[in-house]
Amino acid sequence: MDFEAIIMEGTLILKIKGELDQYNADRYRLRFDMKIVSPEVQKVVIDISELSFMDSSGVGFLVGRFKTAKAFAKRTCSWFATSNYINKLLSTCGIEKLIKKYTTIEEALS
Amino acid sequence: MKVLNYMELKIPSKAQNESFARVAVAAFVAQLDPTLDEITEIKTAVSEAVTNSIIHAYEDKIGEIIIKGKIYENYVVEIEVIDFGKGIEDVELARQPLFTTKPDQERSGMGFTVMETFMDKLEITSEVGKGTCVKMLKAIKKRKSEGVEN
Repeated sequence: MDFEAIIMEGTLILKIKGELDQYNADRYRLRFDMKIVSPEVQKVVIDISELSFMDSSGVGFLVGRFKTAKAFAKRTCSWFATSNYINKLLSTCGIEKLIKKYTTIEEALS
Repeated sequence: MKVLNYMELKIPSKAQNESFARVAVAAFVAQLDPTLDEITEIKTAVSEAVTNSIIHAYEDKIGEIIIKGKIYENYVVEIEVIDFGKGIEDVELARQPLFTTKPDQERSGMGFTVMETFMDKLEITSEVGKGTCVKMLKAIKKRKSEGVEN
């Protein structure tokens, strides 16, 4: 797993690439939270369009990052332009009720 | 059902092995020519079961995890993930969506639900202090034999 963090006009875009499982969640948790709590960040978008694998630990990780953002009063949203399988996983885990879903980055940023 | 092929893996319960376990199982199942969705669903179910053994069964210690794969007639795959850890007190409760014994650790409590959703059958046998066996079955859609490509 790898990630890119871009801040554009107060919006932090965290793009996760590769495989998000429990092993990677533990390795990246703190690094993500450090970016999210930065004072210049007003809004957080997590881009999982280049995620090739995720399990329920990955879902727990995403929910955890949105909780961090919420605790620091950031506006949060998410960008899901992903495979059928990741959408099925997210709906099985009920994440759609917690986090807004967008299909393009433009929509998520507006 | 007749067993056409089988494999067995033994790994220590290290988090790095989650990815190895699911990729190894995927490579074993690949001989049935599954779709990308089918293979990813099996990988996810294996990842859930192995993560459970690492996080819950063995917690802070390292123990052994055995993964068995079988291919039966009619494109049926069986995967077993076995550990010798602390076991599950109440299996029915553990199977409930959102149930977790570790709510403080960002655990989603959806592991068994994901295994149930992505596989056709899930059987859990567990004994406290002895360990847990998770058996999963999935039928792969026949493609090769009928000469149909999708």
